Amino acid sequence: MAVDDERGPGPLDDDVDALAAEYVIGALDRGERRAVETRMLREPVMASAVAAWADRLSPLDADAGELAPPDRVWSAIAARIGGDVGVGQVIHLERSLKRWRVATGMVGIAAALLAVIVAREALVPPSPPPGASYVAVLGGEGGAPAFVASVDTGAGTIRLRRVGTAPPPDKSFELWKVPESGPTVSLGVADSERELKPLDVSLKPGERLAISVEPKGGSPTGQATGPVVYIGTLLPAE
Amino acid sequence: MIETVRETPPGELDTLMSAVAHGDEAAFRRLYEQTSRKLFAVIRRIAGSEAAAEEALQEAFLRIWNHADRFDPALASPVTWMTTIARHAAIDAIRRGAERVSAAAVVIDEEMAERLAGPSTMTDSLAGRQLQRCLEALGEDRKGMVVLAYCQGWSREELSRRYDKPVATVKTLLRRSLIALKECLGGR
Repeated sequence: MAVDDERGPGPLDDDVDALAAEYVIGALDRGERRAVETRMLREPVMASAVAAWADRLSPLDADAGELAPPDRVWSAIAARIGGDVGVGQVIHLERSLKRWRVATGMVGIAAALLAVIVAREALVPPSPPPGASYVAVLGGEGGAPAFVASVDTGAGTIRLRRVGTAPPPDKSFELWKVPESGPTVSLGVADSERELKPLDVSLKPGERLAISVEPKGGSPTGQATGPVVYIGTLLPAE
Repeated sequence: MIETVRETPPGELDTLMSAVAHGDEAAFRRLYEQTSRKLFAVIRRIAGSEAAAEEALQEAFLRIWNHADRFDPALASPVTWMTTIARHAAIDAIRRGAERVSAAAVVIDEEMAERLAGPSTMTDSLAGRQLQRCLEALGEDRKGMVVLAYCQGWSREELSRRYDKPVATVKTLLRRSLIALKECLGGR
């Protein structure tokens, strides 16, 4: 029988494929599996090999049938995805950043369209005068506004008014500038209902402000470490 | 109790996955309602106890929530993608605990191993029949290794004990079996 065939491993013309197969059947240990998962993120070949193997072996799942889990499982999941913050919806930073990129891209397109229209009407506005002011309403996804920010570039201040829930007692809200590209910049902790902060970075319309949940006192790293809960776009104020 | 599980309209899971990737909790709830029975059954087959299975299902859905943006509809169906996550969560649960080494668990595993060799609903589909045929072609032991690893989360070490072969040999046999399986299935 075939099992007697126990020579050493022959040359595998496709190591990626064999690894993907071992990953899918669950034969890898934890470290090996993590390595494959990291490669899946970076190497499309690995991601598609894994998907192909999962599909190939998926008929084996049919025999398992269906089994209703007890309700407490969903309760536990729901508590863990939304319960940490207790306000709005928790959005994971990684995902939020992706969305920001998309959104800022869209703002760019909208701005370009607007520029064309404005140019056609021969009403090209001058660049923002010193002392311009901008506002942003920061909300969670589909949720009510949580913060209103107003920026006065003339006075060099940013005023923040909290209209939503306070942060949990052992956490701080932290305000971030989210530029079109490059890292986010901290604008400080925002735990009080009203904050008036000096503005030592430049801000312009279309850029976004975000609030993340951080350890008490603010992010220890200078970059957001907790979930981003509120986002809003800066718009020119009248 | 007989429950009618509403048939998921085609494409709905893809739509839900995309909403979940954008942090939509309502869509996530719906995705759970649509898929948790299947995932729980797959997990239960691997996990040694009800408690471990529940924990693994919870972990699986948290991973699905956190990594929904990694799902690529061009590569896999949502259920297949989620099943891989669920099986790994179950494997983590059993390899963490000592459950697997208990005698009772081994007896259960043996029973399940026997059952897996028997008639199967897998053959209801064309893909299932082809896979079944190609698994048979591997021979008894190799088929057993692949099926026990996939369906019950057996590690190379556990397979090594059951088949009385060194771990390195099990690794080699598994790899070869999988490559043979792919060839048999037409390299698809």
